[in-house]
Amino acid sequence: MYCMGKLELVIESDNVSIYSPKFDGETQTEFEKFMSDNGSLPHPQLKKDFDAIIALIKKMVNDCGARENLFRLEGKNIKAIPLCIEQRRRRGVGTLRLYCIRISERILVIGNGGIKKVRKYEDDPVLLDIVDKLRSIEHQIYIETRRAHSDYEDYQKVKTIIETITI
Amino acid sequence: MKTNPLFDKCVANVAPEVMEEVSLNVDIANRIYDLLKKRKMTQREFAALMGKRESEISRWLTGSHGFTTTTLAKIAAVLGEPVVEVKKVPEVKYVFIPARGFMTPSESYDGAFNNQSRNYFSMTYLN
Repeated sequence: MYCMGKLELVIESDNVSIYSPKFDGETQTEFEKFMSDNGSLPHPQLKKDFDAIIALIKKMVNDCGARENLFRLEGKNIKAIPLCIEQRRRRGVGTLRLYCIRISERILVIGNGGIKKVRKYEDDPVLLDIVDKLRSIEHQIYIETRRAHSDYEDYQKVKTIIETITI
Repeated sequence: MKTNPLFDKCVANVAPEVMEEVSLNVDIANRIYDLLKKRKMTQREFAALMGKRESEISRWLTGSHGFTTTTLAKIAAVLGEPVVEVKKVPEVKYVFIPARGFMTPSESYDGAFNNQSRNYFSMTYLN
């Protein structure tokens, strides 16, 4: 259904290991594509959204890990990184979203994201495709974890699974 | 440890005040979440005590809400513990010693800092 690829370790600290899908033939991971595509958005509100997402990931890396409460559930284990800054939003601008799979406090898989202008991501084909890809990856990780008679809290086992599976 | 050059570049472009705001919002959200767990209180129960909708509490806990001091005080009252604390630094008083002509912390001066010394200090500088 989708291109083949691997989950690549992009950032690691004592608090969290962050992986991102890298599909065959691509030069960047999905998270790197998100940063490249949205790092210089012209609208100030969207620029602020981007900065808030980056600041939150930095906070997780340096300080608190991928704590459960910091994510917005988007259905079936797929989470969105929320915007940690409240601001008045002009109609039609949309909000920047970054989708991910939170495995545990110490393991996070970050996918791609984009500007959400519709009420539900399902109404945007680009965002829906991003979420569907992540959903498929999460299902594979779950199956492999079950097969290894383990669970998501077993950091070393899940880390090994994530680093070896083909997505 | 592994870093990512593109991520580091993005971090470098974030204004320091945005980094601070996000960090503070996340710290407060985590603190409330931990207090709820400690009290074995559900988000629904907490919402009822706060007079808020459960969805609003859920948003608070993601760190995407800027709290007013009024709300923080109410949360502290409901949960029985402070959510944020302001660091209190002991006040350091300075006195003017005419003979030497420099300021020194009051701890090293056995006299009280009074109006007389303050006046003398002003006069010395004015003249």
